Amino acid sequence: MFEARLLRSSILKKVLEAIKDLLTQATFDCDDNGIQLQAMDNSHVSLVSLTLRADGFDKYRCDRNISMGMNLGSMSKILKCAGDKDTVTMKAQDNADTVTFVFESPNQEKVSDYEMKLMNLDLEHLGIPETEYSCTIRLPSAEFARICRDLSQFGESMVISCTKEGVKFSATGDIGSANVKLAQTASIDKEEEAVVIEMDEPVTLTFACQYLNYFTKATSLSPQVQLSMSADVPLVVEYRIQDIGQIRYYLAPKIEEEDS
Amino acid sequence: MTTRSQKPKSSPESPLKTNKRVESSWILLIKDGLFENSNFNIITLPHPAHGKPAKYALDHIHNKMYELVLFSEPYRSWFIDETVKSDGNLLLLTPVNPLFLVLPRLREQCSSRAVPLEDLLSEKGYSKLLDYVTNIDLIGDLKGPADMKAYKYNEEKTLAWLEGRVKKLATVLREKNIHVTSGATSATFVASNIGNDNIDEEIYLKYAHGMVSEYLQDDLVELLEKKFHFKPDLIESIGKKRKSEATDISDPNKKVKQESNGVNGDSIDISINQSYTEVKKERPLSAKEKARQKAASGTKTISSFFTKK
Repeated sequence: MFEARLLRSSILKKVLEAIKDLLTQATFDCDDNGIQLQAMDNSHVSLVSLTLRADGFDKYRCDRNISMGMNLGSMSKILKCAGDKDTVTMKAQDNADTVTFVFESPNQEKVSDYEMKLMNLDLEHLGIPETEYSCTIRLPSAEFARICRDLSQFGESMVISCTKEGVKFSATGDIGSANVKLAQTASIDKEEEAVVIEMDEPVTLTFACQYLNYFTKATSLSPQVQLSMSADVPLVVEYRIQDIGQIRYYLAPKIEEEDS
Repeated sequence: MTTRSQKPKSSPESPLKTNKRVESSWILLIKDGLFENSNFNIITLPHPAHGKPAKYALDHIHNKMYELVLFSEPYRSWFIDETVKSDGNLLLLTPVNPLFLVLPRLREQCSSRAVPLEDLLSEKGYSKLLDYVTNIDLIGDLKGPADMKAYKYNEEKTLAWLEGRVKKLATVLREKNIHVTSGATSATFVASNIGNDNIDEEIYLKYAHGMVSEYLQDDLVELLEKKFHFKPDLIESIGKKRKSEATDISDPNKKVKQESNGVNGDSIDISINQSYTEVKKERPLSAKEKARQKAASGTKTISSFFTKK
């Protein structure tokens, strides 16, 4: 028997919003420690890794490890049926072929349950090595979303370059070029609004704008986003979800053409 | 056999699509006989495999149907006498069996009931095909009186007919010494050890099946494939064999190339695997997914960075 209860459905709703455009289906791996999801997008250039810890749930019970393959489009449709303040409970029997979502309104007057068929997904899991990144940048997530949106108007790829002066996002395309420079915030009044750069050595990498825009769908999950980069390894875009876990996006860098 | 000729636009009702710009002429290779035929016309019909519009030509004198094939390459122009024609596309007319075009309609309309041929081909320009279609009893059963020409789709017959087509094509491929294994060879290259003689018959069949499949709907392709019982990795294994031979000969060259590109063997392997799985899926991609795939181009696969568990 698997049962996980969240007091506010909005977290799960936002998580779904953050991944459903990038992934069509994914496996939720549930064990004693919580729920894990790892999946690559169809083009196999990015990877999503979601962790929801057991202690973040109001109630969490997982007798036996269970992997639930879900169609994220369908799951998102179901979660749209829940009010933001509703309590959501995910339930599944051991070896079940369906999962049940129960939504309860705050005053317990309305209880709705939705059953969704599970899928058999044959997805491979990748081992992600612990990496020391040369650069870690923390910035307000809304700011990052804004930069990605603005720069994607200029070109298909975005160059992120981190030096000791700060971090520079740039894009070049048919209409011209765009550069956004962010310097480290001098005085930190509010931690959420600060730009913090930790750097061992400068890094410059190129990424596909469209993918970064998919990642910023997670903006509502966290006021801050952390970007970690090292030369020739995937970028990590991490959003912490308060008290329960985090969602990490990995994006492989674009291979720079020699003639450009 | 063929003449290179420049044809003025003859039928305004069906203007040919050229790439982007509208041109008043195009280059078309046709048979001599067709050239004498003053009113052979070009019609638009849905392609039998995917239903998108395609161009066909009808020659009523020889009672033959042709498919218009466009060969398009960037950076190509034609020199005609003293002038340059910037549109370098080359159009070819290749004979096509009209039965292939009738097949999807027959499958759609006549799988549970018999429909007279005239009604079946009454819309969307199919009516012009009526005189060209013969042997429809190869893919369907005649029901009712003979003069009604009402047919019902028969899958067994169809598959038998297609099987025959594939086998016939395979024989022709072998006779004409067409290169069917994976990897490229120059047409003028005569290999002493890899002659076409020791190539398995099945590879010819598979190649022919691929050619015929271009005119069939996906589900029919699968049914036909089952009929032949192809070994799944036939082409792949041949490809590997050829490759290993090539490395024996040009090993030092290959090393240089690898170093200069900075590409390691692993990533090559991955790309091969990936293309194989893509073929397996054969699910049409939505516009969104296509856009994403375009955005992903030039990016390494993420699995080349992380180890598989």
